[in-house]
Amino acid sequence: MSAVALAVTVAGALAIGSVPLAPGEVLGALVRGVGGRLDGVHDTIVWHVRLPRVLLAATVGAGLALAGSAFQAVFRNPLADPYLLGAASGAGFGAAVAMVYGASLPWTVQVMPAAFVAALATVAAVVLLARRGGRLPIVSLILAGVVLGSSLSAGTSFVMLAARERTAGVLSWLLGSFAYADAADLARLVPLVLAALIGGVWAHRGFDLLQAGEPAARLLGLPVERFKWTVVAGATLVTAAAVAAVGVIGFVGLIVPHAVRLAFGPEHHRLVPLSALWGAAFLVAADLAARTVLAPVEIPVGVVTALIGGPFFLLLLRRGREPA
Amino acid sequence: MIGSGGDGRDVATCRAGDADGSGEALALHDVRFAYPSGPEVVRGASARFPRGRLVGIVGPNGAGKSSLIGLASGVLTPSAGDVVLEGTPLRRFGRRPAARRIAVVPQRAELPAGFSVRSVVAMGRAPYLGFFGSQRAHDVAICETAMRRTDVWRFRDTPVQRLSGGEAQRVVLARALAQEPTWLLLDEPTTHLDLRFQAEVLDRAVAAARSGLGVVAVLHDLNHAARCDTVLMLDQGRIVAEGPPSEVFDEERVRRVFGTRVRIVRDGDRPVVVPS
Repeated sequence: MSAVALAVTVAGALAIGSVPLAPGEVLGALVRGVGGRLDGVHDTIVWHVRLPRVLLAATVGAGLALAGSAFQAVFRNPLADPYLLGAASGAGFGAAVAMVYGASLPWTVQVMPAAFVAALATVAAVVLLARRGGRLPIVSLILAGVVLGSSLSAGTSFVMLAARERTAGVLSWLLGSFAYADAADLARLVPLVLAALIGGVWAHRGFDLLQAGEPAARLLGLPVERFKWTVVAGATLVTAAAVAAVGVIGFVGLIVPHAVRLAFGPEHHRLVPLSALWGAAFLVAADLAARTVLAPVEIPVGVVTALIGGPFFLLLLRRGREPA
Repeated sequence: MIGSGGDGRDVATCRAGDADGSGEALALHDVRFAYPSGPEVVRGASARFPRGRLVGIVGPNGAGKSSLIGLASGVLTPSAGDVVLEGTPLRRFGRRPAARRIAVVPQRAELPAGFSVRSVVAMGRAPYLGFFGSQRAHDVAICETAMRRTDVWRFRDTPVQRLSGGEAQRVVLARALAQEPTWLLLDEPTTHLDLRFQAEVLDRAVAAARSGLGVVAVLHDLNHAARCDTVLMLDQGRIVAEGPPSEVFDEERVRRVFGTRVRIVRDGDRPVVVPS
């Protein structure tokens, strides 16, 4: 069922746009593209314009949802998410600094590592700031993440504006957008997100054990500290790569794992892969909305996810208080 | 074997352990422990928990009973002294090999909301499974036996948050049994249980010891502790008495350690402690 939902979303996103196409045309273009013989403008639209964008949205959505489910599992906190923990903003800041001040080295050795290091430093700082005598209270974690994240976002804007002649088109990057998606982005992200999916499924039992509390997880054979920080580093890496490619897109990692948990239960052998699948579908749909709702004007997809995610977050925050 | 490839001192420890039989035991050697920026709660305790024995730990609140269980299981790291498992320091064991030998039922177990009883008990098999390895028929059978023994089989598909305190406690006991441990450490296992299950948990602890497990139980009720083979009495982080209950339970000692007068009568071999 989940796979069907993703397929339908992808098909819809390929068909809908400034030039509407019939499902048959989309299918035909895909088949001809695989055969290497594109025929006409419609085929070009499907194969060279919409497909890279849709695939990139799906990849980023899967990656962010995986990162979200991993953060939520290791912090045992349904509100943990790459955006709320500051990882995304940290990555954005690192990427922006590298883009503006860096040498013109390839993306994978400059922008991506800068984003990763900055994101990891931000998460580490957030955890240190939020820690209260060995415990990590939910409210202080989110507070530290959001405040540090806002400061870093402001820093990113400052860096970008200070060098505005070199940073044309960065506003949409700042807010998250797939408008400039190309095959190079895909080639960078797909292997990483696939690795994250395998890693996440590999770690499912560890995620489950942590839900029984850290002492119990340790007594059931999990090397807790090593496991936690490996997962945090991995999830941060995926977040950083996504942000470096398409900018800061918030709340995907919050909404998707949460919805999957409600629908399919909290056990991670299902939660992890289904989060990836629904994360992909969610972001493809959000991007479709981003480019069609105000067409021909395009909304940054980060604005769409924030419009959905903000109220969702507040709802979770309220519900979380009741049972205590 | 874990630690056998280590340095010369390690091998020597193993041999020394085998010589006096402690290679078959879980043992504390003069361990001390303090929580960060807190007073010392265990102040030099030595004890041996052999296989096939039920050892009860008693003492007033704050005597360090739970800390002793934490040290013996490796959840707490001693600030001085050593915990030795089968002749090898516990800290040299990886978490998984340690979890195949020692299982703990804590005082207040946290159960993950939304997980079924079956899934929680299945966590007990984690030390035997690789991350990708899924449960085999063998693992499923072990979990079923553990759930039947603790009488939670009928709740197997119930989400754990719907269980009462006593039922939840038995689920945690089932999870510990599913670990197929050599040592079973119980921290006040009867606290949340009604009378019938208190007696059953004690019966189970006795039976586990008879079947060859080393069982250690922190017990509040001295009359429960009277069913143990050996009793350790703790006071202010020190072991003040050790031996069979008939020797350890002495009216004068209980008054001194617990600060209350009791009368001790005999029921056959077993002492019965009556508050007066």
